[in-house]
Amino acid sequence: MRRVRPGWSARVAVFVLLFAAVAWPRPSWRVAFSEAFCRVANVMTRGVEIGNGGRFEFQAASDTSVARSVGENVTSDARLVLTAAHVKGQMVLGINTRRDAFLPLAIFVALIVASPLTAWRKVATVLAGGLALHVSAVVGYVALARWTFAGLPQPIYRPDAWVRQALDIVFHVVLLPPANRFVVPVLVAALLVWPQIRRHGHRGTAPHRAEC
Amino acid sequence: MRDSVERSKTRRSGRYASLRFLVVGVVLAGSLYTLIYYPYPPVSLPAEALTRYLEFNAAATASIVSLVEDGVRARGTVVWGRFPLRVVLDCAALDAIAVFAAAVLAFPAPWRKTLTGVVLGASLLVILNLGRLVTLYFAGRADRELFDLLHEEVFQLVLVAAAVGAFARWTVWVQRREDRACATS
Repeated sequence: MRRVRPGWSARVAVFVLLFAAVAWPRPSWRVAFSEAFCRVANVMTRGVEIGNGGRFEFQAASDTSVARSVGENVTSDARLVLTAAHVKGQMVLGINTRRDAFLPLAIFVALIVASPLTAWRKVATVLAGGLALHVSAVVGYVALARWTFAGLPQPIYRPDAWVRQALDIVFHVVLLPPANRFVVPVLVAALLVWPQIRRHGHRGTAPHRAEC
Repeated sequence: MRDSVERSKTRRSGRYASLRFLVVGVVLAGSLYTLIYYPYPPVSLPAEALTRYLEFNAAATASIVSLVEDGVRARGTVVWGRFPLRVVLDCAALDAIAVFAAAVLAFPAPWRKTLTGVVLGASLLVILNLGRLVTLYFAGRADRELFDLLHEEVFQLVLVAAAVGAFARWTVWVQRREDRACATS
């Protein structure tokens, strides 16, 4: 890898400033994003059923209800409401769309804007990667709903043993670790930007051992 | 003609090296994550080892905080003081350490430098995490909203950024040493 060029310091500064500007905590932005995310997620998952009539719905929290529930490690700004046909009542899971969807998107966008791509490539990359990150956030919540249904005493969702084990691993290894929300956008940005840089601008070298 | 063939070969080998690094890194990170976050039975060796590590973090945090505040002590994984703080697996920076270690192990380098990188980088992240826990204690004592912001967003990002930065710095060190070795050979 070549020595870091002065240009990269400016790009790091752009990333930091842009990310700080976008991610600065603003309650109105948080509520607005939560509402928008829930609407889109509900459209994407309409008609999805889990097991024997298990359903879920995203509900945005009002600006007065963004809080941490008793026993929870993090605050929540939306709810994942689980219901099932033939079963009374509902189960409500607090979710944090700011941490799970907004901040990863903000990191990704700031990385792409700071990258040495042309303007049009930046726009295309932001759209493609942003969509991928949004879809992965929704898929993560669907996996959370599945895992929760699989653990309920009611016979709503009874997967095979290996599916249950896989859900356990996905929940504990993919969904729980908080760093994943910040590592994944960096990885997605690297996957999308690196080939473009190599193809159109050889700005760096691949990881290699120096050859004498 | 020969030059363009050579350039094309170099580009292909560079692309394979990048792909190899990415694939190996992701597989290693996934494996380390599974080792750390797998739902082990409560009475099992891995679960006990992880609990001991969390207790170490709690004890170290309590020791540092007690330098400025009397009566703070750790019991198990909880720091007891004016703001009780439970240290759970998500607070131990093991995910950032796993990502860092995976990147270092996947990078083509002599094994001594790889081992040095993993040990030094992991130690740095452990120390940073202790700083995080101490800061969270005082933030929680002062203002709950500040605690939530630092806990859920700021420090997570700081640790991941530190892991990325440490990896970048290590690769520069490895490349410089190799360049120097080539120059003197």
